Amino acid sequence: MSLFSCKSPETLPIGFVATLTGTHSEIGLEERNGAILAVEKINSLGGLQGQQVVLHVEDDQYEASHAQEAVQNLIDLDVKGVIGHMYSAMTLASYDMLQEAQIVSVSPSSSTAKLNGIDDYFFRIPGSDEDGYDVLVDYAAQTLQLQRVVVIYDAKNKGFSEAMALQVNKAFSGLGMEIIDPIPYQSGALETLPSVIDRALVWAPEGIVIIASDVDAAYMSQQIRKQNQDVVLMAGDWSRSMDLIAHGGKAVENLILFAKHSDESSSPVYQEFQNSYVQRFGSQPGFTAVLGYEATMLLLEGLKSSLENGISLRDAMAQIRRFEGLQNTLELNAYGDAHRPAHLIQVKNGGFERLE
Amino acid sequence: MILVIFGHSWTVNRAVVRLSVAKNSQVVQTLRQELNAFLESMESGLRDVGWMKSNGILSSTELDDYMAWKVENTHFLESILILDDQARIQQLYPYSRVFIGNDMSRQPFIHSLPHHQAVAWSQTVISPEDNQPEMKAVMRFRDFYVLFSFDLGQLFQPMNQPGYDEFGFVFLLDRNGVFISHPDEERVIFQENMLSDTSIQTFFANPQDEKQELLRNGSLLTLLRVPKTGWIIGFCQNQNRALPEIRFYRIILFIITSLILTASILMSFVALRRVVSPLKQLVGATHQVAQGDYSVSIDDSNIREVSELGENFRNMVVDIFQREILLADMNRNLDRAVKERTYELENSLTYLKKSQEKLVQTGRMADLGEMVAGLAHEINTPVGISYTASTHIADLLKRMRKLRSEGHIDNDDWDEFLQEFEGIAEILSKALRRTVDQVDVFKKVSVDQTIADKREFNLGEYTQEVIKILTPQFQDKKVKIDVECPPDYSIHSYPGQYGQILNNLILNSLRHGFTERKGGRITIQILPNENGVGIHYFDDGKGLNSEEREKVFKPFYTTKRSQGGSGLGMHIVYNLVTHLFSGTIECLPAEGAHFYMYFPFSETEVRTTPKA
Repeated sequence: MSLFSCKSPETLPIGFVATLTGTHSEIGLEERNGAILAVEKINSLGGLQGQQVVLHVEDDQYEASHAQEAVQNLIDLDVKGVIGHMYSAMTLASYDMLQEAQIVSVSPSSSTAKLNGIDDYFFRIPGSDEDGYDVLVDYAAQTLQLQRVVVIYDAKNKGFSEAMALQVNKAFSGLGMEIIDPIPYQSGALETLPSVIDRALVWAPEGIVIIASDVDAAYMSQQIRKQNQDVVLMAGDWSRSMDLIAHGGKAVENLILFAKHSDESSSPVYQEFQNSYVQRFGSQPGFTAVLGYEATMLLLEGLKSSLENGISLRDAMAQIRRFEGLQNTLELNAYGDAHRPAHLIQVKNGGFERLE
Repeated sequence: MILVIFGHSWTVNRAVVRLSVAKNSQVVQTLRQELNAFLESMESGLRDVGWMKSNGILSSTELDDYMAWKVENTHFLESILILDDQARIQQLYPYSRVFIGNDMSRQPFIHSLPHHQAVAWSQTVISPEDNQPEMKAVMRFRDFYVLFSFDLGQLFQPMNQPGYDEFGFVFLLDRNGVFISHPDEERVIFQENMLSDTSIQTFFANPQDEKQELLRNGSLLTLLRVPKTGWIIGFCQNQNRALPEIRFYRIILFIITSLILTASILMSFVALRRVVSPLKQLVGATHQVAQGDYSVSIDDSNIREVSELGENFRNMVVDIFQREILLADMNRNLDRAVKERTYELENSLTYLKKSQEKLVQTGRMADLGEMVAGLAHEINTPVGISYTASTHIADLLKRMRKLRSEGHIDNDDWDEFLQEFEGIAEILSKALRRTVDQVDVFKKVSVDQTIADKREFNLGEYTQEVIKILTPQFQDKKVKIDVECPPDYSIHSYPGQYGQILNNLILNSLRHGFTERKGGRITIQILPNENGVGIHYFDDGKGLNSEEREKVFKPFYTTKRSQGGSGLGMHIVYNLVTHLFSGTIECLPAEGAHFYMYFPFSETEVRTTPKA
């Protein structure tokens, strides 16, 4: 893929797979950039055990069939490990293939609850979104005193967003609120958006929780605000990006989200990362770039330990319980799932502000 | 040959690189012009739509139609949006209900629009619909915005046909270094960027740099900035792809050069053989001719020069042969003539030698004669006295015998006789004594003069003696001779020959120097040193001119031949000084005559007589 790829015989191939095209590609591309930065950093320090790491990038096109095709390509390339996917639906689509091939994968952002607590070849660092939605629900119910909230979710990333939508509803019901069935929206089907929004607003909700990607969330917000200025808009970590604001315009002002990472960090490691990223890619890194970088670094740390100790990559990965991320230390449980504390943020004046 | 081939391939390589640089530069410049023209057409399109809208020329429906017409008829233009003063979508083509009313005020490129009629260009994004890079240009008017959305993916596609990488390809980067256009669509779709190269990073970080050329992994990259949008047009010429071509040309070059060289070597060889074999024959012929065999035959050659050479050689041999005969004739005659002349010359030489010896002898005899004359003069008087005395004795004895026979001898007679006899005896004794002395001196001098006898003698005293012998010859002429010599200075040498030298010099002065006047002065300075003795001989006579000085030592040279000069005196001097004494003599220019002689002595020859 690289214009100036230079393959030496002593290389360690690893794979990267994410959604790199289509509406959802913004996050995937950022994650890929993070992964590239991590690999280039390791290589510039001499690689692993003197071997240069080569990153093979594949696009799952946010389609299950393409996800499987992409993973098959990586398996054929005999990669040592895989970073990806970013979306839970994609992760679930290729999960069995990677287990069967006994290839370790580290997901930067899949947070489907379906894979929680399984002892497998799958590792991830985003931290569970469940906690985040819990925080958001608590805030909506306790602080904002909302009585009726509608959930709209991206049906295309069903594995994740439907589960989350159900969990949100469950949490609301647990707090004694009125429950309305979550409304699905097929990402990319812009022409259906007005009717989806109509279906939501028909309930005259006090709040709407959007479980969708940044641009989808932006367009939904635009659509909602054309009809309703008062309803409280809420979204998950997934929607958090500058594209949300660019496409959402004033419609996303005051939108409340939870975040598992902060874009601002004073840690020197993060500052260094930020500088290299700007230099290398010409733009500021979003939190997904951080995730891509961290996921790759975690895989490379496991690979290094595996090479040094002569143990399998899976075992080496399983031994890693604490991992120094760019912003904080990640704790991984026995199943390779990282925990990250969530906090709330709000769109204010075209930017994100922490909500205290 | 290697140098030629090496030089050629180096030149080819350099030329290829240079041509590539020039070509790439031209390509990107042209593309930038096209791109600028395209961007300007977009700007003017924005202005047109804005003008239609702001002047109320068209109704909303008409404007819709115009926008549709514009999109359909403008290359790459995908959609036109009209935003209200709050940057909310008011009207758009192609129409989409969803977007009407959407707020675009927070799109960074709109947000940053500074003023009325300003144009802003968005970042490029990949359109989710067709995976092509898209861009938006927006122009602000008094109370609305016009926004074009256009597709960049096809912009450079015609440039990059299949097989593009054989010859090079064009690509376009947005202001973040991300591919907007590249023949490999994946690079565009996956928004890859080129900032992994630090040189390119630096180029991006320095917007004032307009152009950059880089050689990377055998690719020549030419990058040119488009100031309007901050994009970079790139042209990548894969030098490695060109290498087989270069290699091919190099091989062709090598083969051609080798062929030419081999052919020329062969041709040279043949030509050389054709030249060399007649030349060899010629060389053989020269040896033959050198050994006197003129019966040589030279084959004709079809090389004109060689043929001419052979022809000339043949002619030359004939000429040489004829000349040799002539020469042999001449030689024979010459030989005879030479023999005759040699015989004549030998005869003359013998005659001359004999004459010279005779003359030298004559010279010596003459010298001797002069000395004898001197001696005769000296002893003439005492001998005369002795003769007179003896005559007187005879008379006296006759007188006594007569007296005895007469018987008249008395005592007085005896007394008178005895007294007279005693007187005569004394006179006789004195005269004879003087004669003996004179003869002694003469003997000494004459013996020294004839026998080269080496003995020890006091130089000063001996000089005086020689002068004394010669005195009769010059005392009537009032000639004065001064000798300056350190006293008690003796040498072991040939006094006779030394005397002869002095004798000849003095006689020379008398005969030639002082002929035209009465009197003269001769000075002899004897100056001994460690290695020999130098003698200056001066007279204040008429001296010698330069011709005389030059010839004075030559045999038979005389200015007084008519007066009986032999012309050998000074020659004898010269011979004695140079041969016997191994010394030097020269005649120096002076008022009178000035001869300087130097006699080198071995140490044993020098004796300084101890002072009494």
